[in-house]
Amino acid sequence: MKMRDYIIRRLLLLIPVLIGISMVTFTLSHMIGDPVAAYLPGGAVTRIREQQIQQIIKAHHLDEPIYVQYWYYVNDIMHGDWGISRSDHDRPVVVSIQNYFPATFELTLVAIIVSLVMGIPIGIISATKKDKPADHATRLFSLTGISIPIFWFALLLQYTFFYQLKINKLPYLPLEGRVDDFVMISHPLKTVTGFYILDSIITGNWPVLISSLSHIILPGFALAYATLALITRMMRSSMLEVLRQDYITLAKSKGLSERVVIYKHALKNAMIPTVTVTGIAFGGLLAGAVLTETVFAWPGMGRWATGAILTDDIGAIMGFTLLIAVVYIVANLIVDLIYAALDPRIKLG
Amino acid sequence: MTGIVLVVVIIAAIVIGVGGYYYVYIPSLGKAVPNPDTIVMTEFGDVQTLDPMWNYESAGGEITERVYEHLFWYDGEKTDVSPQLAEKWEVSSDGTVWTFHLKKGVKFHDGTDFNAQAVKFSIDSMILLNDPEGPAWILAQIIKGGMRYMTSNTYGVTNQTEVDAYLAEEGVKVIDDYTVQITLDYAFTPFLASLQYVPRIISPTFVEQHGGFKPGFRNEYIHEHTCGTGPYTVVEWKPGERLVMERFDGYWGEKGKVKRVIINYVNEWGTRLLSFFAGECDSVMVNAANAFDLIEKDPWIKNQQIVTLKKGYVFRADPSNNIISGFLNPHIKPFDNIKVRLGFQYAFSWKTFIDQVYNGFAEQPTGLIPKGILGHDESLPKYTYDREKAKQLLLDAKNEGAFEDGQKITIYYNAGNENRRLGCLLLKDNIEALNVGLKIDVQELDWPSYLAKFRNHELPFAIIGWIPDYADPDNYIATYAHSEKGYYSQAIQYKNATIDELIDEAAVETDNTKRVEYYRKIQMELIRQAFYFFMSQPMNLHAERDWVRGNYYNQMLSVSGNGNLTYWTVWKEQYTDQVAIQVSTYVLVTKNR
Repeated sequence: MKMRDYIIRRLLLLIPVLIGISMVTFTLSHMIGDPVAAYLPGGAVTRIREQQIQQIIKAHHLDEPIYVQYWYYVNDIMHGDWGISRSDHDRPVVVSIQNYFPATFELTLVAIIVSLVMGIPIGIISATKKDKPADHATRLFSLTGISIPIFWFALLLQYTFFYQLKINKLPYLPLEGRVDDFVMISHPLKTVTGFYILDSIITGNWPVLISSLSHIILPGFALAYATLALITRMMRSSMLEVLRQDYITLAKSKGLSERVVIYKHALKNAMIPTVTVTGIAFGGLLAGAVLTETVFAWPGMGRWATGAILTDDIGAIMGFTLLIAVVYIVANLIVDLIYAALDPRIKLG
Repeated sequence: MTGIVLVVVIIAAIVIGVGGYYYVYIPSLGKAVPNPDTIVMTEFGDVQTLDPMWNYESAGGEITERVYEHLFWYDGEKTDVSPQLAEKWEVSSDGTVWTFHLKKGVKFHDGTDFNAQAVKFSIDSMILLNDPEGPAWILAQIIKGGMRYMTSNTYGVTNQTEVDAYLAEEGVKVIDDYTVQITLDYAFTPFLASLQYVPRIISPTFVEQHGGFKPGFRNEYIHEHTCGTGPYTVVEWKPGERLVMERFDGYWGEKGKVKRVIINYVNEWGTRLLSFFAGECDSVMVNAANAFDLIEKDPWIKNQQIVTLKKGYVFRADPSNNIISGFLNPHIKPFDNIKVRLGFQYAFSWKTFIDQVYNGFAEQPTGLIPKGILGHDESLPKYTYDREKAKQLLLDAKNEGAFEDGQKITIYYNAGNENRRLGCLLLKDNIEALNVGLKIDVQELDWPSYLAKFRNHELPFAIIGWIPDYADPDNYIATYAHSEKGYYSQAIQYKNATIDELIDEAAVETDNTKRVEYYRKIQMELIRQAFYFFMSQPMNLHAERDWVRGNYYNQMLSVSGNGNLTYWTVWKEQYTDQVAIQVSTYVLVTKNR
């Protein structure tokens, strides 16, 4: 099958998946308790009069059967109206996604780059120096990464690299947020894509670039650590397995240098499991950056989605779920394409 | 090798990032007071809206309260009615027609003049918007034509017949440029107090230029942009991230001291605390649960004395206007029996509740009206923890057949509400320890299910709370006791014609001594009936750096409700280390106020 046809077919598969997901989430969020709650915040409920509740019921068709409500919902989605995010100040869900998605995507991208760029070499070193001190050190490092609670690690980073450094009048990393408030006020950033790092490069806004780079280091690393550890372990074990293969022995016996054997012959094959893990981890990081975002007051989707779930904000839950489904499918499509590039024997289809 | 090159690149990027950051921002580290012309406050929660006709919560209130102004407001720390944009006023002998003479020479942030048309526009559009989440009802319930409009189906649609009918009543009438007349359906003494909260007066020209006003619909632009007459104006709002205000130099009154105010929204306490200790922000929002990260525990618990853990900041605890209460639903067995209700009141360990849930930063209220509000009466009786009495009452009730031996009562709280969870568990412990054959099951419900039970009157016991809209006892009493106006009285289906009559009379009465007498009678009846628990009047906790000057506390302001700074009066001043040491201990005096 041609690559183009394959991509189109995979993207078409999105449609039934999205219908399925929207049906399940819609039904679940509409079956719990009083559906009016979705439109009332916890604090304001005491002020609401009965006739106002009746107005809410009417405005959102809450008195109609659930399949009719679902039909209204699908119809709106088709017309570009993803509903209102109740927990996000009644903003249209589309606007909320525009506001929060870039922040999370930027953070996740940095985290995944950090974990790949550090994880792969560390994994290789660990495998080639098996049972030597370097291997023990990396294994300890990855074990810590997998077992350490992320919020605690994040607080530790803040305490060390912000607080201790600052009170001792040393250069320090910023505590929270995407960019320094004062920099943003003195050098307002024109939004092009919503990605601060990219936007500041495009518009040549260097103070914001420096500020946003320094702001992303701690949360990026906090978020990356667990994935980094996972990739290191994955890389180590698959590299060890590949190194036992006959063709490696052959390559070695041909007199090729250690470097060429590992990076030219072994690496490509050892990468396949790592790529798989990365694809899954990417979706997971995107949907699960909640703790990191909370600790670093990072204005991303994690906080929005948690708020939505806690207040049964139907519009936001649906929008978030659909978006994550799309991202997940696309990420895995890319993983499959990378497979084919790494190993020509793998056929698409 | 490529891997190693990449590692080097990453490390270089980090070094450049850190180095660049340090290089660019190092000058700010040397100064004693960081950013002297900017106040930075770190808070949790989030502004819902900046729309003055819709906003009805404290995080947004902190902004709309001062960016916009009112006809009446508060003078410093006092909670009484004090004119703000009104200068003089008269009222007809029957108490229904109010004439207000307005201040002249007041400008909106867009440069237009404040006048009677702006007052009419602000009141009418708030009522005509009729936002179910908004404060419109406060005025709609009394202004002529408002009640009818509010109860007809007018939100989310424009019902032109109803709009015309409301406007035809001329409840708000412009007499001349600086005189406005408001006609009420009936005399209502708390009217002036309610004007301290709404309307927040907005420039009609500004609204007109940005989409205009359509009855029944919110204006998206006004939701995010402000144009009032106050000393500060909002220049940037990134929801959940930050809000920036700048001083309005054309302000008619005392101008703001600092050029800029930044509010940072950080939900994680650890992050807020580090930011505060490191001097990144000037004040920080504190919960009772976190208070002992700022002050020492023992001196507070034992002597109610505040000793800060570090130098360089001030910590205050002041009484709030918030009343946390509970109800026993008299329509659910066995709470239809007054002896059971009384038994529960005497069995509840009030002090444990306050010490455990609020770390001692609260008081058991006397009656329903909190300290600092007209009608508060220290001489009212309070239920105290009395095990023997409780046991006797419950056994008597059992003999009367109020409940059977081994009967189980299920009580609920909504998931995530820690105070309610602790309150329910404490009640369970207290009752089961009496061994009278009553078992209590505590169950967690998600918010929609909890709300459904609440609306269907199915909660036997619930912890509730009330923060008043305006500084008048009517706002508390009617809510808890009036069969038609009261939210909580309707929740437990409490109907008492005599009480209704007393509340209505008290709302018309202009003599404060007589009003206090009415409210005493009503509160006595509520206490006697024992279906409300008056559990706590929590304190507002507040921490600010010692370089902040000029902050004050007013019990009625939602800004202080958040424990934050009155940003329109504060400034920062250079300090020396010696001064910082001197202010490090702050002894609480408010407790006995």
